[in-house]
Amino acid sequence: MNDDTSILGHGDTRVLDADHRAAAQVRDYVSAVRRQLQDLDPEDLDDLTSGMHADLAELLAERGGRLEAILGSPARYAAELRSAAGIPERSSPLPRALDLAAIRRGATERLMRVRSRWPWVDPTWAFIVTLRPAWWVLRGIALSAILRWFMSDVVGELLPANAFEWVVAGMLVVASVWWARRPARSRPAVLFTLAANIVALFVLLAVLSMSAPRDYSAPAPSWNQNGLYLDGNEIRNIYGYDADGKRLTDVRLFDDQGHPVVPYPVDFAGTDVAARVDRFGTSWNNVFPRPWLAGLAPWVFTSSAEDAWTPPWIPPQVIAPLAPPTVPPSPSPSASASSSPSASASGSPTTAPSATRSATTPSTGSAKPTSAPATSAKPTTSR
Amino acid sequence: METTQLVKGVLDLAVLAVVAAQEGYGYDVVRRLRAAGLQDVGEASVYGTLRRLYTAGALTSWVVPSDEGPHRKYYGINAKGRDTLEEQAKTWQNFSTTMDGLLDRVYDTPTTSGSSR
Repeated sequence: MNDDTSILGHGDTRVLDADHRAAAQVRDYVSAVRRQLQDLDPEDLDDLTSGMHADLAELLAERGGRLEAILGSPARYAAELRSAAGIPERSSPLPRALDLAAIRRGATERLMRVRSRWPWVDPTWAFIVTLRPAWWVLRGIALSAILRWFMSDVVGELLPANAFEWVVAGMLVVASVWWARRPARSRPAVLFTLAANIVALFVLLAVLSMSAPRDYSAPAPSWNQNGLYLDGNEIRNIYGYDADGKRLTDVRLFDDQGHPVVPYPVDFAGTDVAARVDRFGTSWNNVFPRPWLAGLAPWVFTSSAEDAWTPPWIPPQVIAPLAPPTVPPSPSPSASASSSPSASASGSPTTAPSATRSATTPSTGSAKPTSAPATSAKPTTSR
Repeated sequence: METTQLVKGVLDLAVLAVVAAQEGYGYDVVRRLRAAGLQDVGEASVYGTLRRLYTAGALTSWVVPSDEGPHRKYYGINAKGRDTLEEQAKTWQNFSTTMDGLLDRVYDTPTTSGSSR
């Protein structure tokens, strides 16, 4: 304390200058120590270092020279302070971007815990390790496949197609196994192996994903039976016209087996198409034309701006009337071959005139739906 | 034997004894410990010990503002600190007596009166 007053008592500028330098040195040292203690609570840190400036300034004034020479490095000082104050050491010496060693240590510890908790992990892993040669072979084949894909246009086949390709694949398999059994493992070699494994894995995944649709292509048509198709395009609706070329409403259609003709029961907006009910309570899904959108009447195509759906085709109000069936059998099917008319043409002579816009006919039609197409088909052929 | 290791073990007791004699700031405590003969005591160790004893409730602490320079942090002993000091002093005395007895048997009479400690 006497030293303190004596220093401050000097009016000499040189002493003041030295004092200034000393203060700067103390400031640097304290902040360096604080950096080492940055893991602490800020309040604790302030508390811990609050008297440090004064103490170190006094020490420096008494001993002179450099603080590092007296006290050691700030890091050592901080470590000593830490251990004496009973503050746990920080896990990593300084905030470092990536402590790989620590990560590895942590992973190993976690692995050990897993192994001790589940006893089957070790034998399972040992078994997987015995399968490694199979992977070496597979890897060779996969690498030969990618080579082949680059050389030709055929992509997606894992196995070679001809003798030459088999030879290449065999060589790559041998190379892959040889590579895996090499004793020396340099760092680049490990990286190369890793890269090859990743490429092979991608090839195998690609093969799997490409072969998947091929496997499902067989059951796919059965799913498609839900809908109605014309030349591979889905039919959502059928618009019928009578012999006069006028629009037909509430026509029920059957195929040549007597099955109701039912397109996929969802309209363009994705809404389920409601079935119609006959007077006996039986519901029919083969009533055409269906409403363009749910809630609209048949043949109405201007939705009330609720959605911006536009129909792919707006059927005309009227089409050209048919010429009277002078030569009955051949002309009518050929003229109407485009779409629905073939079915409606056969039915039109009986139903069309009365059924144009009314819902009265269904009752008469419903009495003989299954047999009707068959019976009507026979007369046309016999005629 | 290195004295640093020995000092480490009794630093709490030493610091408590110094502060009990008279309150003081960090470097003052260091200086008094050294004056008493504990040359090897480290600054940071003393500051850390003061801090730990304070956290344990054995010391009180206050800051004395200074016009000319940085503030000083003073430590003083309190009732709990005195209890701790008494207890540790007793432990030390027992230990010391035990060690003396142990060494007396080895070196006989001359050493006890004379040298090392």
